[in-house]
Amino acid sequence: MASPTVRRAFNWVAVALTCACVVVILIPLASILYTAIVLGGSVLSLHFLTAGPPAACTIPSGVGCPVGGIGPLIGGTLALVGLASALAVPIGVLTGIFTSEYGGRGLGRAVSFFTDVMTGLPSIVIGVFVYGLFVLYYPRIVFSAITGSIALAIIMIPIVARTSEESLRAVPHSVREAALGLGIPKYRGILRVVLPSALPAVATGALLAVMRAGGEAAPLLLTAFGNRLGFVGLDQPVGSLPPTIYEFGTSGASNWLADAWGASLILIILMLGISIVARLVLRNRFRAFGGG
Amino acid sequence: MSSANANQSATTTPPADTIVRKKSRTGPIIAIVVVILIVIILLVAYQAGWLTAKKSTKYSFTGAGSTFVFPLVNTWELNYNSSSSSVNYQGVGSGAGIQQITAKTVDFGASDAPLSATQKSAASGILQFPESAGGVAIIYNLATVTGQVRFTGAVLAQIYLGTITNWNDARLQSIQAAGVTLPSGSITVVYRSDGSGTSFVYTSYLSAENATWKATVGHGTAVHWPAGIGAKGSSAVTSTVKTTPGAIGYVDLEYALANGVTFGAVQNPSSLTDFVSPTLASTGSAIADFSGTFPGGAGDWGNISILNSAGAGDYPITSLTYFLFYQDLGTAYGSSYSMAKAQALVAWFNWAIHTGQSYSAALYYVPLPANLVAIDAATLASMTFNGQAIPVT
Repeated sequence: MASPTVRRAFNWVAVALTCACVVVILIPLASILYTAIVLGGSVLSLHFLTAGPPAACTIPSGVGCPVGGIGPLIGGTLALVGLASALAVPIGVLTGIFTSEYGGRGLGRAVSFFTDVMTGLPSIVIGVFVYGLFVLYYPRIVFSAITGSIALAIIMIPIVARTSEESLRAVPHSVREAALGLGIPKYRGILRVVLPSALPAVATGALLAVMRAGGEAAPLLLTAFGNRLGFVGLDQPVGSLPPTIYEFGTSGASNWLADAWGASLILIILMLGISIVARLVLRNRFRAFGGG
Repeated sequence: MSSANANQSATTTPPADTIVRKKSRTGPIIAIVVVILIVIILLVAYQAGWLTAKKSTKYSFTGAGSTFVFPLVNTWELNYNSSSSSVNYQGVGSGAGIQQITAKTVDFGASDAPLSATQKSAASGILQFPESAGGVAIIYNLATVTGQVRFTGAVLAQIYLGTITNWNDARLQSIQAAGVTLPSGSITVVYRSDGSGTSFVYTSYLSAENATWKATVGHGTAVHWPAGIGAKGSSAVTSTVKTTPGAIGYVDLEYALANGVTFGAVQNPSSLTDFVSPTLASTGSAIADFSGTFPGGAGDWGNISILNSAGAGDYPITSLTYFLFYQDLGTAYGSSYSMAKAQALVAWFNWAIHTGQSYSAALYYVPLPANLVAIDAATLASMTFNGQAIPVT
């Protein structure tokens, strides 16, 4: 075997490499946050949070350009994600209950497998799917809050279903047996005993799904489309933050670029906020099960 | 450990049970509070009018298409004050705009290229309205050259074919103004990799100027480029050229001016020594000097070309952009339209071709010349709702 010196050297090299990897991972995160805060923070104001997007202005320096905001777009994002959650959370949780409690080996496994596959579907494909579903029969509502929230819901459902399934499975079997032993029907046992004890984890899954959907731009380009006025009605196109960041960020208008940075910062804050809440809830759940 | 503990807490030991229950309850409570907060925020936002920056109007119209006209249409949206309608336009590209209007998902489309015969027959009853005009600027990155570089159609075609590869090539150097000496260095050709109206105009120009180009590459919104590197969108072409020494590219004049990129002068067909720089004036006069007759909105615009306009001082790479509407809004959209709604749509576009043109120049668009405004107005008057004429207001 190698001498202690060599081994110590090896140890140092390994530690150094590990630290280097950590730094490499943190660099993009720090860089994104830094850039978003510096460039986005400079446009942040109450006006920015409430006013509508400005008219395009092509003066390169941006001096004298109208300053707008993203108020309606924040509303649009909240409306879309809210509608999508209303669709996805019940369906997802019920799917999770089915796969963990009723599915068994055959159908349950199959559903589980396909929800896994769905998790990996590229979101743009989901956008194309919803677009294609509506364009033939209901062309007038292809670009609307309805299609946008359906697309986001399709992204959310597998995430909610999988996390619900996992968290229901994490509830010890003896709890179910105890419930059954008291003579409660299976469905009541699930509703009153199993689901409540798994609820924090289910809620976390739902919040993670909300986070994922809230940051999606690709499917919305084909469904919710875009709208300066944010959310104006179920059958009307909806403007939300991510597609607007894409659109404004690639435009030549200087004030739109500034707007895109501000919108990025707000989106990061919104999504980080949800993530932090989700993690707090998750921590509570671990405590409930005695740390694991 | 976990299962034993949970089992215990759920069934036997009362104190542990209460403690655990208390903690496990906080999770759902937080979640519920968050959901309630979101709902409250939404309601408050709705009340405060956040969700509808402008109080929602009676009719809202959706349009899609050309990214070139996006900034202009966006300015119209913000400046069109009407109690009866609001317009929502998204710049998704000319090709996508034609597709969407054909699928009737939108109320109007916009394209930088006129409809081809196939596209026209796919969307039966479609009308084309020439709306705005723009020039395609040849942008380049040559830090050491102070004067404006000159190009001819033949030279540009050879550069894009990959037969002229060096800036000091004799064919390129010989057409330069006295005092402009091009350095030795390879030319990096940049083209639009996505389907683009700008590419359509530019490749049409190269086809008109060079037989080899016409035979081997042809024209279209997306072609098989024989040389160079692709960039997606006008902004990517601009930034690639800006950051690559020795690069050459083509973008809408609007982009070149807004981004402060150097662009070249192009030879006017009327005179070998007349090299014209793209400006609002030189592209505007190219349209004014168009020698043929423009068809009406229902006619075929596919062969209308204002490339190589022959008047002195006309910029040769100039084109029109088009708005697309269905002639009979009732037949096209069925029950989602009413006479009043059709009237509101017509009123908006009527405003756009008249008052709306005053916003063009500040955004570097060529205002629509009077003869085209007249054609558009006549086409607009021909629009119907289930066979009835729509009054233009």
